[in-house]
Formats: sequence, C-alpha cells, structure tokens
Amino acid sequence: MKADVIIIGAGVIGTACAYYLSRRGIRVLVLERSHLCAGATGATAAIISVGGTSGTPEPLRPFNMESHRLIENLEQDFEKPMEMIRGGSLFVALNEQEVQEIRSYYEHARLMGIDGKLLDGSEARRLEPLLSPCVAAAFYNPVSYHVNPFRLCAGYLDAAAQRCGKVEYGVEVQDIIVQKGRIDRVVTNRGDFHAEWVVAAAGAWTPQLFKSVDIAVPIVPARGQAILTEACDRLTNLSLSFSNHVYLRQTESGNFYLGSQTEFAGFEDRITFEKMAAFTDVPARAVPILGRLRAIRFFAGFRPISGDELPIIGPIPGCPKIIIASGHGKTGMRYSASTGKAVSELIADGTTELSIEAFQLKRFQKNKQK
Amino acid sequence: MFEIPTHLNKRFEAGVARGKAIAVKINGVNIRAHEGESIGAVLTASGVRKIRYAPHPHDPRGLYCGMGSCYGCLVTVGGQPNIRACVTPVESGMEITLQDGFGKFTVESTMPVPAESEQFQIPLVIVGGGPAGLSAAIAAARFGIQVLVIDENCVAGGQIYRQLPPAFKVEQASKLGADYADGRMLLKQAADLSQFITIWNDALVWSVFESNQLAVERNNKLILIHAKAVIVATGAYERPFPVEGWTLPGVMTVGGAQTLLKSQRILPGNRVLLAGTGPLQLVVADQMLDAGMKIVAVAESVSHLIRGSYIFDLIRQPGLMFQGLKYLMRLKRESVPLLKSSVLAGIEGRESVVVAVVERIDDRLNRVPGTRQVFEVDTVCIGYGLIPNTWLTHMLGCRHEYDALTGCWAPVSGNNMETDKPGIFVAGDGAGVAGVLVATCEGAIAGLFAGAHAGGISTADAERAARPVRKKLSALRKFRHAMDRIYMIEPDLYSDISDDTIICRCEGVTAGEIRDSIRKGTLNPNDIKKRTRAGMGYCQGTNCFPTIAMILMNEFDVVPEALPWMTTRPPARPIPLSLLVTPGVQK
Repeated sequence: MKADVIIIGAGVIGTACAYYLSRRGIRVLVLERSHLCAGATGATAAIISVGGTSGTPEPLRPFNMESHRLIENLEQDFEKPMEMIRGGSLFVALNEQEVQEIRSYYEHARLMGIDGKLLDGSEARRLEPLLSPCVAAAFYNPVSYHVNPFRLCAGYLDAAAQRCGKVEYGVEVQDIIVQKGRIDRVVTNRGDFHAEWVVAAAGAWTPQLFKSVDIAVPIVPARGQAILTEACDRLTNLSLSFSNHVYLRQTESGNFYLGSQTEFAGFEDRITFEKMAAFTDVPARAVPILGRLRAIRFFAGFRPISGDELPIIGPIPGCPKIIIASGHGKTGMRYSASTGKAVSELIADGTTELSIEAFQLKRFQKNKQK
Repeated sequence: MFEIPTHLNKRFEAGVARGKAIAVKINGVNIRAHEGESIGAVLTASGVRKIRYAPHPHDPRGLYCGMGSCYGCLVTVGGQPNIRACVTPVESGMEITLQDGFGKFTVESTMPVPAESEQFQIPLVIVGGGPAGLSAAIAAARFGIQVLVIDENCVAGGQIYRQLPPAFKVEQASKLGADYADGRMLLKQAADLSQFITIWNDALVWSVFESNQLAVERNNKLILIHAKAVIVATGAYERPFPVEGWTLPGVMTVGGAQTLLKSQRILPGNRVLLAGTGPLQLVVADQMLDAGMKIVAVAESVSHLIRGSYIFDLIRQPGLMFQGLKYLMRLKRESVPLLKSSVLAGIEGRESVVVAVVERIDDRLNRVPGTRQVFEVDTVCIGYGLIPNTWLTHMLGCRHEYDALTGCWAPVSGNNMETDKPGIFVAGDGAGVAGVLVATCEGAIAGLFAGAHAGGISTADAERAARPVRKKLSALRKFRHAMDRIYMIEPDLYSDISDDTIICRCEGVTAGEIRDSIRKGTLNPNDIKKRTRAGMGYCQGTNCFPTIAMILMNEFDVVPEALPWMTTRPPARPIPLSLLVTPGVQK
C-alpha cells in the first residue's frame, strides 16, 4: 500500500492521528518499533476529565472541551467497547492546605463551564461511602469518565485499519531524511519508507527520531509508577484524586488502578519502593478498603514532558510536511482525539479548526538557537 | 449453587496419624477437619470439588495446581476474600465461604493492622527451601557461612520432598516412600547446622529493588534484605496443557494430585485418567493404586518409553531404570492400560468432570482421526512436564534461553551455577528442570561458589569440595538428557487447541481471542496481553504464557529466540497493599 502519511508510534496519539486521517480518506501507515501502547499509553489511568488538578492552561481549554466530547462518542465507530465508566471524579482533601487546593480546582472548573460541587467531609462520604472520616472536603467534577486505555488505542487503530490505515510493527525509525524542504525518505531497521507526510508521535522517544534534521525537540521522559490491585465487585464509578498527583480508579474488570506521581529518571523503568509506598499511603488512609486489597502488578511508563508542559503539535521548521504530535505529558489520553483531529485537518485542509498556534515547536526557539 | 456433603470422608491413613480433629464451617455447614490439613484438602476430603465460580466466564472451578501457583481455588476465610485453599492450613472454628464470582470486600471491614518493616544484610540468601535450596544451604553452612533460606511453604522440603504437616504424626515411615525419607534427612542435616542456617517458612520474596535488594513479606511484615550472594532455587511448576473442559473441577495437575495423596493423605478422586508424559505420572499412578484409587488409563504422548539410542546413558543409572520398570510392571499387574502415542483431547462435564477423551497421535504429533477413546471418570490428572519458575531470575535481569528438549526457558548458568549476573546463582528445577537428584548436586555446587562469592570460602576450597559432586552431577545429567530426548515437549503437541479452549484461566481468555489479537496486532505476548487481558490476572501470566508461546511458535512461525517474554513485574505473588503503608520505612 502506498501511504500518504507515515505515523511514527502506535501510542494513543499516533493511533488517534491514524484514525482521524483515515476518516478523511487519507492513507496512513503507522510504524511502531514495539507494539500497541508500549510507551506512556501502557501505564495510564485514562481518566478523561475537563479541568483537573494542575489547571488547564488557557490554550488547551478548547482542546480539552472538544476532546472530552469526541472520545465520549467514539465507541459507535469502534468494534469493541472502550469500557467507559461514567461517574465523575472526586478531588479529595485531607487537610486545610488541600482544602484550599481543591477550592482552586473548583474555581478553575467553573471557568471552563463545569458545574462542579464543593462538598464537606460528610457530604463527600455520602457521595462516596468508601471514604474514611479523615477526608475533610472534596470537589466533585461530574463530567469526568474513565476508559480502558488499551481499548481506546486499539479502537483508534482498528477503526483506521478498516478504512485506509495500516500498521507495521517491529519497525524502528532511525532517521528522517529531508531534501529541499521535502521528505526524501524515512530510514528504518526494515529499510526505507516513503510518504509525502510524516507525523512524529513517538512520545518520550520523539526527540530521537531527528538525527539529520537539525532541530531540538525539548521533550524528556517522566516516569510514572502505577499499582494494580486484585479485582472485586464494582465499588465505585468515581475516579478519586489526591494531592501530589495521586489518583485511583476501578476498571471495568474490577481492579483498582493507583498512580502515579512524576519523576525524572531517564528511561529507567524499574519500580522503586519509596515511590510506591509514597503514593499508597494517602489513598489507603482516605479509602481504607484499599488496605484490604492485594496488589497484583506494579509497573511504570514514560510520559513525554515538554519544556513548558504544553504539547507540541505542528510542523517542524524547515519541513512543513513533518508534523510533531507529542509532549502531552500525563494527559495524552485526554487530548488524543483533538490532537488527532487537528493533525488530520492540518494535512487535509492546511489549517485547523481549533488554534494550535501555542503548540508550535518554534516557541522554544525564540530564546534558544540551535 | 454449592453442595456441602456432610457424610463423605476421603481420608486414608496409611502410616500416618492425623492432627487433632477440629471443626470448621464451610458455607455455614459444620465439617470435620484435622490440624495440619489445608483448606483444599478438607474440601476434597468432604467431597466438595466445586470450590468456586470464576467471575468471567461464570464457570465452576476446583483445585487445579495444588501448589499455590494458579489462584484457581480462592475462598473467603473469615472476612478476607481470595485466599488460596490449596496452601492455607485450616484452623479450629475457621469460617470458609465459597466464592461466587469475585470475593466480596465490604466497606465496613476493619482497617488492616499497619505492617512493620525491617532491613538487614546477610552474606547469603537462598530463595526456595526444596532439595536444591537446602543442599545449597548445607554446603555453605559447612564452611561456617551464615545462610538465610526463604521458603514460601509452611514447611520446607519443596514439592518432591514435601513433608507432612507438623501436626501429623508418622507411624510407619516406610509407607511414606523414599522421597519423604530423603527429604527428612536433608532437613535434619539443615537442622543440625541451625547455628548457621536460618529457615523462614511462609515467607515470600515479592520484589527486587535497586542493587538486588530483595523485598520479603513474612507475617505481614516487610523485610528488605541485602545479600552478597543470592541463590535462586525456586523450583518448577506444571506445564499447562489446555483442552476444552480443563477448567472443570476434578481436573488437576499430576503434582497437585500427588500433594493431596502424599502429604495430606486424601484421595483426590475415585476414577481417574492420567494424561501427560514422562515418569512423574507413573510415580503418581503407583501412589494412587497404593491408596486404592481406580485408574482407568494412563495416556502417554510418546510412542516408546525407552529408545535404543539412549540406552547407554540410561543403564548407567540402574537404580533409576529399575524404579521406572517397577512402576510399569505395577500398571500391568493391576491391568491399568498404558496408552502410548495418546494425548488428552477433551474433558466434559457441567459441574465437574464426567468424561475424558483421549486421542492417538502419529509420529509427527498429528491427531489420528477415528482414534478417540472416551473414559467415564471423576478426575483427570494432567502432567506434561514441568517449567522452571523464572520470575525471580527475570527480575534480577539474568539471561534466559529456550531449551527445545524441555520446551521452556531457563536462566543460563555456568559450571559453578552462577548466572550472567555476578553473585546471582541458580540451582535445581528453577535452573532448568532436571529432577531431584540433579537439584541436590547443583544446590551443593551453588552453595559452595555463592559462599565463595560472599567471601566465606576460598575458591580453592570450594573447588575441592565441589569435585566429587561434579562427577556425580555429570552422570546424572546424561541420564536426564536421555530422558528429556525421549519425553521431548514439542510445540506441535499444542497443535489442536480449539478456539473455545480457555488459555488464561485467571481472566478466562480463549485461544480464539488470542489468535484474533495476534492477527490484529503483533507476535509480542505483551501486545496479546494488552488486547485480551491474558496474563493480567492473579498468576500474572505464569500459567498462560507457556501456551501463548507455543501457539506463537506453532501457528505463527515465531522462533523462540525472537519471542519476548511478558514483561516481568513485581509482585511475584499478590501482596497486601497495606504492606506498602509501612511505618518506619523512609518515604
């Protein structure tokens, strides 16, 4: 098959791009060096929310709203259910400082048009009986839902394959050769590939794709560790968030997913005792039943964090047909649909419905010349 | 849903006096039990074979592996769900509830007691207290090295040397067989060196952190251990051989059946078919006949039990040869048909096993049409060989290689049983399945050289002490190699798995779903896991990865060298989350 666009990476961003491009009738070829969800997508709670703990930066707000709506309606186009659980999310405060924090989340969500609720301790326990008396207050965001990240990713990819998409695994891109502003070839361990466009969606590994093209992509891996417990009957539909980016959800299969904090440790994927103990402590105090469950799997993944924690979406300087779509940090799931849609518009129409001006790579080059 | 008969008693005493009679409650019904018995044994003795309904699909399950590896026999004890019946001893007044679907956790349950923690250093840690681990401990301790043996079971001895529960009394040791006596002797030697050897029972190495720090769970206590040298002697578990119906109650591994017979003195069933390959099923058949069970047939997948070309390697171990012949003659004497070139083709029943189907295979391991034989049974024992437990060696980053003869991966080790990771040694079936005699020799060698690595013995002394063991080991390995060639496990043996057959017992994933995911995705088991959930359950792929590997090799032409493992992650077995919320551990 001759492809119009080569997408590098079969994580949630790459597969979302493949999906939206294929909906426009554009032939895509996804090159993945390992397998589906092998990077950050393989270690995520996949909580799709509007607003959130760190506050959504202004330029991302329209993306947030749109993507939230798009993902919610994807299932009709997918072969298998995404195991979506709607129930909203609860941001839990255990002390006075955290009470102040959740107030700011509440205000922030209101700015984005979310009619959330601030609850005191006993109201929070009425809404979520799993919570212990040590919970002082909570902010309830009704629009959050969570999905099975593997199902979302496989859904994007399989739906693309049904139209005009193809994927090849075990293909590691070693370089992208550009001549006179056009893509000459994509060099891989399996020989050269050719297409008019390239979408670089290799997550934390995206900077490594550019060897002969002289650009710096300021993305570094941020390790997130996670714990999965044994499964039990459904105890909650809510996702619960705590301070320091600790959160949990009960999956469709009944397991609890606990994550994750963020640390910069290169590509070292071993789990560490200190981190796991640190992010088990608070949830176990706030949700005592967790202490009765057993952990069956610990794992880690690498989120692509950009220099200013905004994603990078757009063409690279010197070659308008190489588009980077990466650097989404911990929120790749949440922004996947809008990122894929924007990339498809950029390629099909030359312009995007929602502005991606703030996500351009060139923002990093203002101060730093390479 | 669950029937609890009160009139059945499948205990037999042969040479043993049980522990004190006690009463337990199963689903509210008073049932007789004895101190020292496992919950699984009590259920079996009372005729409760259907122990649980799995959550997905909602089908009945019974005791399967009998050694704590498959997590199929989960029951609720007191308020705590998902306790393994097969390895948990009963206590007087215990309330056991059989689980329909998931175990029930209630919000009102009391907070768990916060765990304690401790850290220390020791020269030599041995993981596994079976023949290899104990031999290693003895060899090192004789040179005055402090050794800690960490064993998962309530009593050391491992699987083959499994001892009776301490509450049982031996009246006639001769009725317990040679393995029991050998195991007892080894344990006594270890006990005589108790000045140097500490044995922790009921303790689990569940993770490895930086610079090979071992995380251990023991009595709800978290212990972090630094050792100069580690010997991994974690033994083996039974190779899965999926056929339709193999998840039914009444289907168990041959080793699981043996544990019930040997150390619990309980009949695993009345009418049994054994299907598998190799000498273990002959040994177990012999023990079943001793206990008075009816064996309808033994199905052996190979065509010749002894082949001329290996005869020289075999007759050098006349004792072992003689034992084998003795087992065969016993079958003949008791008119038990030994069906050669025959494999298990299916198991039928609704609530438990009613029928087992055996089919002949030709020289190329293809099924021969029209050769299906149907047996009415209540028990099927599956025994297609063993697979090394490699979780820990994988966690420690050791290199592993596929062995085409035994059809599984094992850590690569050198002459001194050291892996490619300095200071990490292996011994016994965990280093490559080779049986108990090889295990004791490998253990002794590993003990000496790990001791040398830890600085307690000079290398010259270790070499001198190892010399006679090496000679014995070399002869035993030749014998074993000949046996492996006869009872070779080829991927083709797995050629007829129907799409409806469950491969991942934990998550109820079928062969059809796995094939579909391979066609859509990659030849990487991690991909299959993410798409199907195979390997995401309690046993973390231990009992489905071998089959998935066989499917990939057999149907999708993957060579073993190109087959990545499911990424090995902690914990080795499920651990209470409360263990992480440990006061005193720096966070």
